[in-house]
Order: sequence, then structure tokens, then C-alpha cells
Amino acid sequence: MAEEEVASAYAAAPEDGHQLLVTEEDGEEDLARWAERGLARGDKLLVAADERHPDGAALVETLTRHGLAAAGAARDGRIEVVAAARFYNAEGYEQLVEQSLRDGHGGVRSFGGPHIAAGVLDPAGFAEFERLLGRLWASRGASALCCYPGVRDETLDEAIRRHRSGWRHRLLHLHDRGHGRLDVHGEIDSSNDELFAALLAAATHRVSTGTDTEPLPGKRRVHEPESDPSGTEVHGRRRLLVLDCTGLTFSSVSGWRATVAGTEAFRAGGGRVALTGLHPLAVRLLHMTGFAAAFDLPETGGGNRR
Amino acid sequence: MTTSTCTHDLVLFGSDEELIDTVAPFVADGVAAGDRVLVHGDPGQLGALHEAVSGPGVESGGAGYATPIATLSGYQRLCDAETASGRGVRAIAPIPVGSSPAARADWTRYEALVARALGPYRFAGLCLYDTRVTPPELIERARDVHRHFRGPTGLRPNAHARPDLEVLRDIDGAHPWPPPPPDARTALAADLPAGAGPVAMSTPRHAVREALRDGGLPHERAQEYLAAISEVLTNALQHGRGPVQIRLLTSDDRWWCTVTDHGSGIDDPYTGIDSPLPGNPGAAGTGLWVARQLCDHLTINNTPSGASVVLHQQA
Repeated sequence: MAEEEVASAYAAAPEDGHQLLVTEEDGEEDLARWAERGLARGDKLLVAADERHPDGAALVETLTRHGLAAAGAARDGRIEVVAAARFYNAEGYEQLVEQSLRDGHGGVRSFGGPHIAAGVLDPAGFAEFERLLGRLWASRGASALCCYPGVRDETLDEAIRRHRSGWRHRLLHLHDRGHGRLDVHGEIDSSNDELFAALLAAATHRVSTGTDTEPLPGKRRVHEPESDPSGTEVHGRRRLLVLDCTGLTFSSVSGWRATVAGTEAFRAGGGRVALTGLHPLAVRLLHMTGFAAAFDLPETGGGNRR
Repeated sequence: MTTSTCTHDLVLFGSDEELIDTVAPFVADGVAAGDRVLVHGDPGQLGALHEAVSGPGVESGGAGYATPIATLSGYQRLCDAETASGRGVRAIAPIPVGSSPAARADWTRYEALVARALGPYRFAGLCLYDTRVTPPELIERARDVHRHFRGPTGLRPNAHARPDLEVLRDIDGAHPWPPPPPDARTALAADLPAGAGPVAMSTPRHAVREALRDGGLPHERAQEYLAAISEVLTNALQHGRGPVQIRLLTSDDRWWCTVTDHGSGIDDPYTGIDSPLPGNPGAAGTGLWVARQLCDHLTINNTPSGASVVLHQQA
């Protein structure tokens, strides 16, 4: 594959893929933004039916309330609420995806979660279904946002490991680009700093074991361990994580502390963490607090302005 | 210097000879002990001193002493970085006189905070005051805040020294940071109800960011102010009790942000001064320490119903 193709596919990926949504709320706002992205791309949107959205009309009402022109999209057959029994059935789901692509939609994206699947699949069955979603992203470019309400501790770790493309939580979105590169978007404060640390811990573990690279949609695998372009791989284990903070518009001190904590094990094992795209205030805060010592920072942008 | 004793001596000098005779042995002792030795000050004014004490192991301090709080935290970082090595830090510096009564008061505030802020560290400081050019009332204040004089014959106790807290209270009484004028515009009034969790914090933070946009503060200053306010807000939600009120006022190019909670108040006058860095065994919280460094000034007031923190920022 030409490098430009790889780059453009990855560039498109932050908003797409097989993603985890961690939420303490109902996830409605996130569903709306996910749908907005889908409508803009010409995707077909498949939403697993639950109590709030038992049918298309309820979903259209919700999306309209969030400012989307959902009624027209529904008329065009671009929005569909799917009964849980059909959605959470491997064969049924694959058929939905194939049918949507045959119907000429630009792509497919779905929205569901374990609380909806609970009536249909046991935990092992749901885990298998999540693997299917990962495969369908890789092979068919079908995106899926999996909403895990109130998930924490070991269940959270498990949920993080299941999703390869990225993780969302209200203001925060972490996108795993593979090849030891993570993009962080949004804001970190005391509402999501612990989650951020957990996400980084999972991501760095994935990096150090070389299991962080997902195949691109509809293409063959691009990652071949022996041809790592960054040259940071040692005996098949990458030692460098690049955390691109260009999209990080705010981080509290606790957010930077979480960055230190979440990468602790990786760094203790000899890994290095490079922070790129930092805003000047972030550089200043990192130097001010001494957290800078844990990371590779760009040379420019002096932290001791005063 | 052995353990974490912090000393902070006053040098009143009237000639280059007197200054050199005082400082040179202190520098030599530091170099012999393997301490980091920093000599600050403008070489134009303290050229003779720099020349006399320069040599291996003596660093000529460059930046620093821009603002009191940046100077204090800068020394905390410097000392903290040396805790692992076990090296002490010796600093020799003229204290800026300040261009206004408020700035002068702020440097006296700095002097009164040194012992506490650098208390956990192996720090020895000499504060240099040139009696030929320093206004007498500043010399008087310098006597208030140092336990010892150092001169060519060594150390002697200062009977004039007053408790730091008393000095700080006096300065705050005589030189309070200007409150908002009556006609200041309220740019934001937001309340977080009792029981609001950290998730609720982003809403007022976004509102503050919006209010500061095009509000006259340069972009970087506005970003710093927002970060400082956010840390204070986090602190109020974590340690205080709701409801938490946020009031953002502005007049001309000045801003006041008051964050009021209804907890048990902030009793410790050194909140946000104590070092949160890892070399301090009694490491304090980081939030207010950072907030103090990101705005022009931070005032903590206790009211009968809770704590009220005011953050000042000027374009």
C-alpha cells in the first residue's frame, strides 16, 4: 500500500472505527455526534433498539433535538433502529452491514452496548460479538461505537482492551493510530483523569507488546514488524509511544499527573513517551510541576517563561 | 549544611569591599561542601562581587526574581531536583526594590514566605540590600523578615525579626490587592449546586473561557488564568462543600475571579506555597500551588461559611 493511502486512511480514522464510549450518563449526546459524523459521510446508521429508542421515530426525535436533520435521513433509509435480537446476532449483523453496503451507502456505523445486548447474549457471547465488530471495521470499514455506561475497574480494563480504534468519554477522545502513536483530543480534568490513566496504561501495554496495530478497513494489514518506519522497535517490542496532544485543548494538573501515572509501567520497563503538539501552556505546566522529566518533549517552547 | 535546614540571612552592605568580605566565605564554604552556588544580580551593579567570587562551582544566576511567586517556586524546583543528589543550594541575590508600593510589598511578602516555602530543603540564601540606594523603610522591612544578619565577621542574630505570619498579615492589611471597583462588569456568575461532582466542572470552565475571549487579556494570559481558575474550582469541589459560586468581574484590563465554597475554610495561610514536588516529604497539594503561579496574585479569604479564593489577572 502506498504511504499516502495509509496516511489518509489513518487521518480519517479518529472519528471512525471500533470505538469504546465510557459514560456515566445516557450517552445521548455522544450518539448524536456519532450520527452527525455518519450523516456527513453518507453512512448508514444502525442503532440497537433499547427502551429510549425502541423504534426509528424515537431515534429521529432524539437526533432532531440534538440539531440533526434526522427526519430526512430516516426517509432516505439512512437511519435504522434494529431489534436487539437481530443486532446482537453475528450472522444478522453481518447481513445488515453487507446489505447496507450493497444499497450504496457510503459506509456503515452502528451504536449499541452491553446493556442492550444483555437480553440476547451472555458475557462470553458479547465478547465474541465485540471481536466481530473489530473484524468488520478491519475488513469492511464498518464503524461501531460501543456505549458502556458506568463501567469501571476490571470491567473497564476489559472494555478498553476490546476496542482497538479509540476510546471516548464526554470531553475526551483517545485515538490509537497504531505504530505506537496515540492522538488525544478534547479536555482532561478531574472528571476523566483516572479514566485517561487507565486508557494510557492499556495503550502502552499494547504498544510494548506490539499488538497495537489494527488492519485498515478493506485493505490488507499494513503493519509488518520488521518494517517499522519509525525504527523504534527492539526485538519486536516498541519502546516509544508518541502521544500527539495537538487536539488536547485543556488539561488540568491532574490530567498531566494521570499521564505520568498511566505510562509509569511502560517507562519503568524502558519505554519512552514523547509528547508532541503541546500548547505552550501545557509545556509550561509540565516544567512547572516537574512532570516534564517523565517525557520526551520538543526542545522549543521554553517552560520557564518568567 | 547537613539536613533540610533552610537559612535565609540578611546582608546590609555599604561598599563593594563589605559585600565581598561577607559573601566570599559563604560562597567558599558552599563550594567546599559541594553545594550548588548561585550568584544572582545584575553584573553591571554587582560586577565586583561576581568577579571576586567567580570560579569553579559558582553559577552566575541569570533569570529569576521576575515575580516573587515565580522566584519562590523556581527555588523550590531547583532544590527539589537536588534532593536525590543530596546537594544543597546556596543562593546569593539582591532583592528587587520594586517600582511601586504594591510591588515593594510583594517582595516583602516573598521574604516572609521563604522560610516556609524552602523549609523542607537544604537551602541557604543571602538577601543583599545596598544601604546606599535602598529606601530606609525597605531596610526596616528587611529587618522584619530575617532571623540573622550576615557580615564580614559572620553571622549574628537579628533582634528585630518578627514572626513571618505577623508580617504577612500586616502587608495584606496595608497593601491589599485592589478589589474590583463598584462599576466593574460582571462577566460571569455561575453556581455549582451542593453535591455537584467533577463532571459538573466543565460547564463553568467553558463559560469562563467564553467570557475571557476577546476580554482584553492576551491569549496566553487568558489561557493561564483559565487554568488557574480551573485548579481553584477543582480544589473547591474536592475539599470544600457546595454550593460553589464563581464570579468573574472585569474593569479596564483587570480581572477578578472569586471562587467561594461552603466548606470548613482554608485555615493554612501557606496553602499553595508549600512545595508539592516529590522531594518534599510532606508534599502539599499541587492545584493551588500551580494556580498561584499562573495568575498575578491569589488571595485566600475565610468567611464564616467557607473559603473564598480571589484570582487576580491583568493584561
